Amino acid sequence: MEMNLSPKELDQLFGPGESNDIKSRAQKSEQIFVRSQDHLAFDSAPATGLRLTAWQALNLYGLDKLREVLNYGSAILPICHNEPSSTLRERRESLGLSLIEVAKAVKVDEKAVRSAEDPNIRSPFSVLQRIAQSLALDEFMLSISHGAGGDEALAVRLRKLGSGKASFSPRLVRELNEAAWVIQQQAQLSLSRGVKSMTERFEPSPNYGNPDYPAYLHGYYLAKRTRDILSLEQDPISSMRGLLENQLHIPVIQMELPNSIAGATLSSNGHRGIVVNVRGNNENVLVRRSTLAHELGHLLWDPDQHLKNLVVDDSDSIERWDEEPNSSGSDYVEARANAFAVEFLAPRSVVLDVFTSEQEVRNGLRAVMERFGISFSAARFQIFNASDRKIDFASLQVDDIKPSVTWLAAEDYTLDFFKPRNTPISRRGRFAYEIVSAVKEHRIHESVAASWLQSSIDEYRDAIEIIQDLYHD
Amino acid sequence: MSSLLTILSFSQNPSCLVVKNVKKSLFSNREAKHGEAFVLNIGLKSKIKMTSIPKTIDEAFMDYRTTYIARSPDLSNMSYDDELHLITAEDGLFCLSNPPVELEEYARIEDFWNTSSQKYLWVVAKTDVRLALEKGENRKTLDRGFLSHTNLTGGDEAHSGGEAWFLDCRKVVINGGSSRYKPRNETELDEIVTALSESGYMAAHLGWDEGSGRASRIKRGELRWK
Repeated sequence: MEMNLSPKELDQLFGPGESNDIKSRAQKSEQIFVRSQDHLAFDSAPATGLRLTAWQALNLYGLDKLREVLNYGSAILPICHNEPSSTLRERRESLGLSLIEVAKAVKVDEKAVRSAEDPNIRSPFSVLQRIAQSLALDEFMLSISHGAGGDEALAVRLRKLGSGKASFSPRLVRELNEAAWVIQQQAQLSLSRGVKSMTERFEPSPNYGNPDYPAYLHGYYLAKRTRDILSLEQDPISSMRGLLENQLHIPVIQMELPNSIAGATLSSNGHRGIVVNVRGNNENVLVRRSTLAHELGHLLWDPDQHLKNLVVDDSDSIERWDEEPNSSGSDYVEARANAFAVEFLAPRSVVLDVFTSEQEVRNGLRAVMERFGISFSAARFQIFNASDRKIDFASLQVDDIKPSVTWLAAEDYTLDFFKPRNTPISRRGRFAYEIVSAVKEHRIHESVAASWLQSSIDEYRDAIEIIQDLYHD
Repeated sequence: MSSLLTILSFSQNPSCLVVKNVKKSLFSNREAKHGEAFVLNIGLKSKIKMTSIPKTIDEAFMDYRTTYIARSPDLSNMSYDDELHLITAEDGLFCLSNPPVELEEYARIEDFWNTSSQKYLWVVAKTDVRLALEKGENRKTLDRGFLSHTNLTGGDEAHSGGEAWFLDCRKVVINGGSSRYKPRNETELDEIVTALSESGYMAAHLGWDEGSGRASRIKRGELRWK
């Protein structure tokens, strides 16, 4: 960063202050900027664009643009006449989405999307912002950078999946774009306060087994390695979401997806996150825990060539331990992730002790479910495998497969109590907490926070306390 | 019929001719006044819109100056003392006169707003309209290396200011890019363009950006020429 602002210019840009350090002046500044499609300016009452803190404006657009604001009253943002329209059109096309599909996602009419793609029209920034989010672009990069920070490889992968799989509807493509956008923003917010995802401590493993060493055995091994690295010993995972979001700092995006989808692991610009469906089989939080553990297996241990930016798991592929994988390469990847999931949640070395601590088989099975927070089918197979398949599999039955209130509370906590009420569930995770923290530290303006949580500023202010109570550092 | 009309210039729109020496009877026994526009039915099927002799710059800006009063510059963003130094004709300052305006170079490229070499700063001062190239060799002696709008006024009151590009000797595009003499709204820019048009220029402005609450500094869409 260029460090040649005079004390007078520092005062003009950031308000009165003592320090000559640009970064610290910007961080403490109460100065508000506003951006539109084409310009950056000091905030003023009539301006309808997006408000930015001085810190944001400096980081996003640099000192030269702030100086331009001083000299001309506003700074020109587009790098050429065709931005941001060409970025929006190319991105939509590379995702294989129609104008109508984007309009539906953004809840505007088709004309507004068409206008945004017309270089001769200046659109309201709030519309551009929503379109950018729906295409997993960085809205702040619109106009100043061709491509606006979108991950092109992810777009290509989504389009290929969209055109290849019948279950992969345009709606699912839109939902996964939303997830990619949240993952990227959440990761950047965490990074901006110096918090890195702990995934860097894991070296992806290309070992998917061989005839003498099946993939599932390596899945068991990787589960143990994960527990060792995280110092979890043999204890139950009290909350998978809590572990992923609060300890590992992995974005977890809850969504209402078609029942056929269990979850996905997604990488956008190098930021990996997990998407979990809260509908279908995953309405049972014990199954959802398995899905989260399964996706964690992909996220931590699959090399990029297997992840290819996105792995989407069907509901019927989760919790399937009774089949040996066939010759298809992707089945080995899934078999390893499934074995990882169940071993990570309920290590065989302790499962049998819990099971045998009860006299009745039904009670023993239920005790395993309750102790480790795993589903009936997961508990059944894990007990069967832990006994070296000596226990009669058919005898492993239970009366009640529902999760207890404890597990419900541990995994479902933001779905029921969250405010603002209009915030989509995809944004009710730790993302919301990162937003509140960023506003408190002047890293983003509260109007950005409100727009990200799809609320008014008043609703956002009302919700701050609740969001802070749901999470912690 | 054409012998009655002395054509001064053609605009882009061929139905709009700038003429003088129009036969009195064609205007219902009225004399054409300076700058007055007529739609003249010359007996042919088409109508010809005519403009009489352009107003002087002073006349053309009279109404504008009455509506939008002169203000002291906003110096809150001033960084260097020499931003109040009044430049002279030797430094390239000139007062706008009726066209044609003879310049060494005109802005020719599509994205003219993104270039600085042919960019002028303009100010509607209290008694004249002043312009000067913003950048150039002799600007390097200034502390910030290029002109400020207050260099065109010496810090005196003015009505408004911005940036300008001459596309040819009669065609000028302006915006309201000035932090010192910020145009107050889009109507103010409209009136300045009207005054330029009445003084014989074909003029347009770059519009208003509601998002930033300021005059647009770049072109979006077709310009509305006057």
